[in-house]
Amino acid sequence: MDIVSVKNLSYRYPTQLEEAFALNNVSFSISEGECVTILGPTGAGKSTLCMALNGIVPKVFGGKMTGEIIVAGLNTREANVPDLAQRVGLMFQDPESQFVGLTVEDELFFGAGNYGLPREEILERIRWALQVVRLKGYERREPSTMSGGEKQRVALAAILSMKPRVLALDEPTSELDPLGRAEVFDSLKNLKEQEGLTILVATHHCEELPGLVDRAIVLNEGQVLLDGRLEDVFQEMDILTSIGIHPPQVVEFWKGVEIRLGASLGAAPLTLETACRDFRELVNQGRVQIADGRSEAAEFASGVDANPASQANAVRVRDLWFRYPGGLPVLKGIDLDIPAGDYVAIIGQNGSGKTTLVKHFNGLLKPTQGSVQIFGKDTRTVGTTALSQRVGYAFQNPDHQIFRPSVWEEVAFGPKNLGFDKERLDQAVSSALQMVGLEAEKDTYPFNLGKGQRQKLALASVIAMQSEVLIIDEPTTGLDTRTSLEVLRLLHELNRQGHTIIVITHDIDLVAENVPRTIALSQGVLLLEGPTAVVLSQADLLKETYVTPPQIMRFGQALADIGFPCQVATVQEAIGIVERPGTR
Amino acid sequence: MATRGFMAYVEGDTFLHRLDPRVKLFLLVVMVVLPLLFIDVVYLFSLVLAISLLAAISRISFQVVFNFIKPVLALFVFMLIIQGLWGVEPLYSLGVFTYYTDGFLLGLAMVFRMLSMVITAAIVISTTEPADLVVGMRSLGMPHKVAFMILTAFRFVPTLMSRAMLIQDAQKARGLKAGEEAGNFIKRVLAFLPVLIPLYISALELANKLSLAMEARGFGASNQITYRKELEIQRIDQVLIVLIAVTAIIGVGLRLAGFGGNLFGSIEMF
Repeated sequence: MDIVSVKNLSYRYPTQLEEAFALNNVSFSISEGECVTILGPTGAGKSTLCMALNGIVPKVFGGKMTGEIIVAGLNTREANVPDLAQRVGLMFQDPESQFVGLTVEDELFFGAGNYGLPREEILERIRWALQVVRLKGYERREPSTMSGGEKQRVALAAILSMKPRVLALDEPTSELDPLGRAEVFDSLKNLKEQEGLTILVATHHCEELPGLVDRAIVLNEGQVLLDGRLEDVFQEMDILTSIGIHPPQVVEFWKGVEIRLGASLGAAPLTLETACRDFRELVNQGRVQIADGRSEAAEFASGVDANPASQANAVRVRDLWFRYPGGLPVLKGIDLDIPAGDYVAIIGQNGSGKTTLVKHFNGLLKPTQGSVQIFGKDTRTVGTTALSQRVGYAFQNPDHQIFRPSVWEEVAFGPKNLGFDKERLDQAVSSALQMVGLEAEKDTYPFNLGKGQRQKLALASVIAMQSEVLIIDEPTTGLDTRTSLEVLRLLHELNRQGHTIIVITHDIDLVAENVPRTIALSQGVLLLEGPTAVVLSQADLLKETYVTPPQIMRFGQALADIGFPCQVATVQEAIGIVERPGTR
Repeated sequence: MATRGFMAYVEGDTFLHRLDPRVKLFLLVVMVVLPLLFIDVVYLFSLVLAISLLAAISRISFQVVFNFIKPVLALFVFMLIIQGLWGVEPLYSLGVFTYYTDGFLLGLAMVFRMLSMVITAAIVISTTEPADLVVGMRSLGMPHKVAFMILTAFRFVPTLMSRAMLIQDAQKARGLKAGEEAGNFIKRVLAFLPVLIPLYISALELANKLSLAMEARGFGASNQITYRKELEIQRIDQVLIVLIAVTAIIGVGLRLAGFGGNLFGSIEMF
């Protein structure tokens, strides 16, 4: 029996133009106990589809819907939202804005309490839900004091306590660090295996999906592009990458090797384990061989080191300690040099001190002990405004800074504060807008731009200040792969023009492919520093700060015994190492 | 915990914590109305003293109460100064400015009125779990949605405060001069705009997302709502209700008998 059946579903938001659709003739059905992923770039219609399952679309949003959805026997057009919500548990992306209670217990009580169930039964459900998400004993904790992964598991448990028959999760992990992502996916596996729940998960992170998900539906511009078993959908590399969806790295590697060798190697394995097993087999069968990659990797590493030729330091940190008044130390004796012209990533789990560290670079924070020098000047002797001329800082969420009525004025705010004269201001703003590709939008109201464009606007407003050093905090969180790559290309271009770029991020794959140098922090201490490939290859040390090297690197390391170089950090490099037998 | 921000529930096990939320709401209402009846500073000061005594007996830390007073402290000083500039009985003259005794007393009366309200609010809010407050308001006949709205407002104060800090940092990084750096009063007020506008937009977005999340969890599904705790009136609650009611009756009686309604009433006795 199908528990979800969607037939010829089309939907247009009330704000959308006549010919545009958020969902366009979507049809599929899901049988009870199935676990399905909805893949697609930002704006593909994933969220709209999730919200259509419990009737919020169109009942709360308005707009025009045609076609029909039957969920657990209810037609969403006829049933009301509370009845649907009891059958379809819908969880959102941002944990912070879905909490109504002050404690975990209140939070879990809310949903079932709304239906007036007996107290004893609700308490029993809460016990069960907390156990499923492995948060037993957290009843009296406050969500606001918990990590992102814990928060999102509380949100999941709050949905579970309503005992839905279908779980719909809208990007449940895209705001989490890798540790949080793993925690949430573990809970989902638990639910699938022990409870046999029907699960729909919309995402653009593919690596965690194998092992959980049976089937994938790929959406683009509101239409179903692919629908099939996960292992089959992942083989469609061309279609997926054309819409900015990246299957797990081992799949990209496998497909890349096939193209390089011009030979079919059979279906690509989906997980690290199966990829290692299958690749060994190929080597044993003599169908492929590993080139002598040592020289290439060494070249990569040394090429980076030579880059900023030990010139003047943009940032010089000596024995930096920092604590908030009345708190424990957040930074514990950091020593660090960032040469002018460097391009460096700062990685580490949430709470490792990344943001606290970089806030010292533009003087938002002053050392409790030790010193921070920017181009030789101690930050304690220079005001924040003077420092912001030399160090630009783009915060994570663009919406936390946009306040002017037009794109042009928004970008001009910073340079005006720095006292640019009219000519320099015009020049700075236009060139910044041109760089991020927003010159055509200069008169647009910023909130009419899409999320990706607002991120670029926030970048432009920092670029226009023409500071030598640029700090970018989580520039790709919540963006799909295509927009993320555009942002990273931009950072590379800025670096080429001579800016020192410091980027804070969780996205290790992007770091590996784009950023030459990496600093890893763990609990306020500098853990590792050096060329990215070298830092990322220290898997054991990185574990301390919950950073997992890119999948392709773990693949290489697992195959070290048959000669795979362990410092290969990108798929392209890895492909380049595999050759036809007898080429040597 | 500090993360709860100021003006919020503080975990504890004092006798006020164990009191039925309805009794505390009753206390709050009485302590809001009673000070409004009087204008005589001696009577008003007695009210401040009485409520402070209650706070002291139940061992509420001074810091917790002070956190509530701190935001209005400037207002107190302002009222004492401004009110004193109007009146009939001069106290002190400096050039064109004259400070009046009756003006000062009126200012003081207003400060005492507010102080007794603020201290009571501090006691009630810091010892009552917000969820219990909703149950209490609900059982006194307030519609669930209204009670829930009030709870949500409290729940998001710390969130919005930390967001305001974040936004201020983001704008400072773009060269915004805030506070004393900004210059004169008007410039300082204008310097708030780059923070207030994003904060406003982000609060709207938060409200939007929250309402969707609540829809998804059956808010308004039924009129029969189950709350985590059932309220039960204990002996101590009964005692307190009587005490508060007696205080209220005495207060109203005194006022009806003509006491405490004159600015100079008690002062002239000395």
